[in-house]
Amino acid sequence: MSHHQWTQEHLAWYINDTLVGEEHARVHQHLNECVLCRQEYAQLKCLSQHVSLEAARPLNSAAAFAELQPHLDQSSSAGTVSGFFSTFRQTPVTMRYVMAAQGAALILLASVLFLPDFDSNAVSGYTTLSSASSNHGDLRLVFDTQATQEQRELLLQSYGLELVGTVSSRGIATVKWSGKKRQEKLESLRAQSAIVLAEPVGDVAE
Amino acid sequence: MELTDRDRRRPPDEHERRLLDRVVERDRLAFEQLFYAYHPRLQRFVTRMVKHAWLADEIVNDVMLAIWKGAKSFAGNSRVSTWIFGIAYRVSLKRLRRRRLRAIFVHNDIAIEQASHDGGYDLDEQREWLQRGFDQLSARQRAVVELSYYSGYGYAEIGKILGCPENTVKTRMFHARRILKRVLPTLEHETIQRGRQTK
Ligand SMILES: [Zn+2]
Repeated sequence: MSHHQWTQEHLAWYINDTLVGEEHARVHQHLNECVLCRQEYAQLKCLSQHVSLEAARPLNSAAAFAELQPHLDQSSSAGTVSGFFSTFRQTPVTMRYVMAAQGAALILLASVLFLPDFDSNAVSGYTTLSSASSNHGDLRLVFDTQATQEQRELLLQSYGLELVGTVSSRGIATVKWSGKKRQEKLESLRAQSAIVLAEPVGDVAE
Repeated sequence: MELTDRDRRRPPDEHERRLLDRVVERDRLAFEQLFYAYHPRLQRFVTRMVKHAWLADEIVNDVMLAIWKGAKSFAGNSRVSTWIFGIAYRVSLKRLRRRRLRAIFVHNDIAIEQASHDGGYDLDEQREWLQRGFDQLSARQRAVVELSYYSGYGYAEIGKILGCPENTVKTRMFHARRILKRVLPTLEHETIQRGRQTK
């Protein structure tokens, strides 16, 4: 790759000062030599200033915390917090449909519907921050508190996941996490409305 | 996982790790501290991604609850902030997909959803230009731009947050820039004007 092209690709991070060592030096040197990249630099610098200066809307963190607080105790009861759960209740036709339908066919349908929102790189090259190279550890799942036992079992079944122990009262479960296409499975699991969190644990290769 | 040079440049996050450990033990005060530390940052990031302030409020609440419930699943091989932003990113995408899916199922025109740009933004003229540029980006591109230009993350860490290869981050930034450049002449003009005023 030419210095020019390489610089163009890395300018954004030269500007936010996260390039170090050789990378920083390479951009710096090329900027001294290339008028096009200097122009680009000036434009991007301007853009980044606008993005960062853009005032955030007024926030009331205290009110948000107060709203959340009652739900911290209710992890295992019916009343729950806004987003996940209210939407869950409002969308009988969509995600419940996906959840209630057995097996892979509908999960496939869902993933097809999701496709326009995906770029192929993200799907094929998907790695997770905690599990990029997890080999044969476990997967920790946190179920939505609205998910019934039947729905949870169905979900585990359709993904071929085997429980290690039982599902806790807070909806936390550990399942065996091995076999092929784990990254794709993980992505698909995370797209399920009945699952709040899916993170591989243990045996993470350095 | 080895720390990169970029990671080393950021202050260590031992304090946040300790808070998270305490959250695992159901320590409310620790959770409250994490909440206040992250609420404004997540709110801004998620609003940028999903564009609707009310939706961002819901999502940030969900993310916070997920942290409370799932603190145990933090594997410790990334920074706490990377883990938390990663959750926010995934929950945001999930909600965006669900909105789209719902629109398909109930035969709602998606355009209606897009047109209902709520009052979350109080746009003055300058921001409107920028917003118009952002509106043309995908949620994933917006995430990359926001994390770079506002949150100040390097591309490697953004890759970890988004769960994608570094090259994908660079590609998204490249395409985003091309689109945003269309609004740049205006931005440039504004900057010059403002520079003159402050002199
Ligand atoms: Zn050049």
